[in-house]
Amino acid sequence: MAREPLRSYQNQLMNYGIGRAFADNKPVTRGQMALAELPEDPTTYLDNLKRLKMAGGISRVDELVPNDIFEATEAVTGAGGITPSSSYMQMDYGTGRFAPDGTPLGEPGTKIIPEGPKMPVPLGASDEAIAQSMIAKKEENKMSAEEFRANEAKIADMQGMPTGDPVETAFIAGIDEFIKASRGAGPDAPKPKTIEEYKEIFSDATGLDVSGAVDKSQALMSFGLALMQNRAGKNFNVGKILSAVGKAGEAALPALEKAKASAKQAALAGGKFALEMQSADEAKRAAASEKAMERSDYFIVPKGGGISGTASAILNDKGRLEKLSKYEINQLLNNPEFAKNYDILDGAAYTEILSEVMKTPEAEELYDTKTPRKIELFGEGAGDLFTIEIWRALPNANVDGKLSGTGTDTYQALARAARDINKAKEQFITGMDLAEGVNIFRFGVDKLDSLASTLGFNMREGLTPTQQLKFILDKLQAQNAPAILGEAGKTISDADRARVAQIVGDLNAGSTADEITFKLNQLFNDIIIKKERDILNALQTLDRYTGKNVSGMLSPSQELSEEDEAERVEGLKSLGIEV
Amino acid sequence: MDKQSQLALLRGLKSGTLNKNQQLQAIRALKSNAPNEDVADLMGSLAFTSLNTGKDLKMLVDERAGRDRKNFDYESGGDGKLRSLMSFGETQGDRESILRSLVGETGYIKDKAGRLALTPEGQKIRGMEPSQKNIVIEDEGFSMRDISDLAGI
Repeated sequence: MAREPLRSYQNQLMNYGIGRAFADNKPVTRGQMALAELPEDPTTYLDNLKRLKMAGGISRVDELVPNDIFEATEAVTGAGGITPSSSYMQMDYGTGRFAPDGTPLGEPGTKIIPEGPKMPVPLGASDEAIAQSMIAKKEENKMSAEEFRANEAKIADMQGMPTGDPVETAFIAGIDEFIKASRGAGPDAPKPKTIEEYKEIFSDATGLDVSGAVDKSQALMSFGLALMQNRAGKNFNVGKILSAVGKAGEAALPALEKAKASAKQAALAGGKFALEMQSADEAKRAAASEKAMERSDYFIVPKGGGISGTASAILNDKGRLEKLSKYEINQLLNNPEFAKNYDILDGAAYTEILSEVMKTPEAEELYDTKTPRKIELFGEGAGDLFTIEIWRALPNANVDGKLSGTGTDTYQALARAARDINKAKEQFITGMDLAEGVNIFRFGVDKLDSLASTLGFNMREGLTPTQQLKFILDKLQAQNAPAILGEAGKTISDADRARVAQIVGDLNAGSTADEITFKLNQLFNDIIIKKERDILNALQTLDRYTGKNVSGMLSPSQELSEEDEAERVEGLKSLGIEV
Repeated sequence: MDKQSQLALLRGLKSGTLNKNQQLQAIRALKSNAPNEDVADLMGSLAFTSLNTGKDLKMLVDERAGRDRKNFDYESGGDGKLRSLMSFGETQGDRESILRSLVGETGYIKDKAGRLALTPEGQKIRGMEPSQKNIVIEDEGFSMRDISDLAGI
């Protein structure tokens, strides 16, 4: 009976692949048992080993080999149904530097799985005795650990040896597994001695740069590498395949991970708001609801092939830009089916990601990646807001040019320009309505004043009505048009200015009302109608690169079929709208 | 579709500014409660509904002023005597009563903005060469009739 708990611990470890298979048939240590009993924590080296086992990294050679190091790493981090608390880039390995049984790490480069039980607790001891013994052992280790740290750091500094840092230790363990899978673990196989040698092996195999301190993602990748090699078998050179693919993923890794992390933060916030929406406090409920529903741009990319695959999906237009609220992101990421198949990236980081993806070898095969080409949507002289940048597709690459960015800012700027053009249009309508009936009997000074005011001018005093109209038209010359047109004024090019100046320039003090209204009409056509067409053309150009169809919705030439027309009329009537 | 999108589409439909295609897409989206991503382009297009109406300035001014140039003639004007008689009316109602007494119920009509006009029948009664359009009595161009108005002739 007394041994039952032990057997239970042992079974648990065996389930995780730790125990006989992993410690070469040596008995399971109590430290391992204690750790296995703890809730699953993605922050330990031991956890990663578990995952490597669960992903089939040790024995399941018949499993499919992951496409790349990133997919392999994800297979390890997500293995066995263990859900990491967050993405693997966010994992915290903790600060202790002990082997799983509580022993300070030994000689640099040596395995951290102990060869046998270190704690002198007899089999059959009670749980309480085991616990007491562990506490005592930990206390004892505290002192020796501090001494150990100081010594080890000193030696490592002098020799470039592994420092025993948990991240580094995990990295080394992963590479050890990789080496074992590549060439077997015979007694003659030489082992790397320094951390630099480990890094070199990793770099040779994956093509990734590991200069500087080993980071968490590289440590996890070393397990991914081991997994791949295990599955591929020792006669297969995984490293050769990986070095090319890895470079692509590596280039995009920081921005992609940042964008993923940002989306996850938004999801967490969405979850928080969802809870607050249930609050008893009405004001709190309303505020949470408002925040939860605020929408921003997010890029949804199909998973597959790890980070390199994500980069490839972006290059091949498999991603989709969506306006999502934090609440929706939370819902999506909590949907296992969605989370399994898609990544959500913060749209704000998309330009940066794309710029990094364009540095990859894959991108170079499809696009002119030297520098994006600028397209001025309203011609030379218009504002920067209306200039987009395109990565040009190479001839025969069979892909479209790719917009640098999401295009959202440009759509918004165009919408503001359309709104301001509409305001200006209203001013022209008012002005024309006033001007049409101008004559000494009907057109009082007050009307001209109101026209001037509509157009935002202060009328000079002492002018005849005709002179006043002339004054107004003068003010409409191009240098003032941008002010009248607001955002749309930024769309006015140098050519527009010349044309408007020419129209107004023909007027003189003796111009009649008819001449003035004629000019006003001309100005309307040249400023308003032309700008409207320009905005529509700009929308079409933008749609071409974003894959949207906003401009298509605006086409008046799109006549409805008889059936569609009947449906439209019926629909409007059902909504109580007069047709 | 979220509530904001539903509201935006309903407002768009009620505003009368959407083109027929937009109206149809909006009705379908509302009826099927289409997901947000399916109405993204339509929603985006709502910001541009004022563009490309195909109307020139004169048409827009007429629209604003409630003029219907297809059925009404705003240039010719009524005869000077009729106008001077009508000028005795202090209110629009008074003027309409005077006109009715002169040409009868079927002899006059009003446009959308309430401008009084002579129908072809009314034109005939006033001894004018009947036109195919209704002639608005108060013309909008400057003519000698303005002087007669001023003089009360």
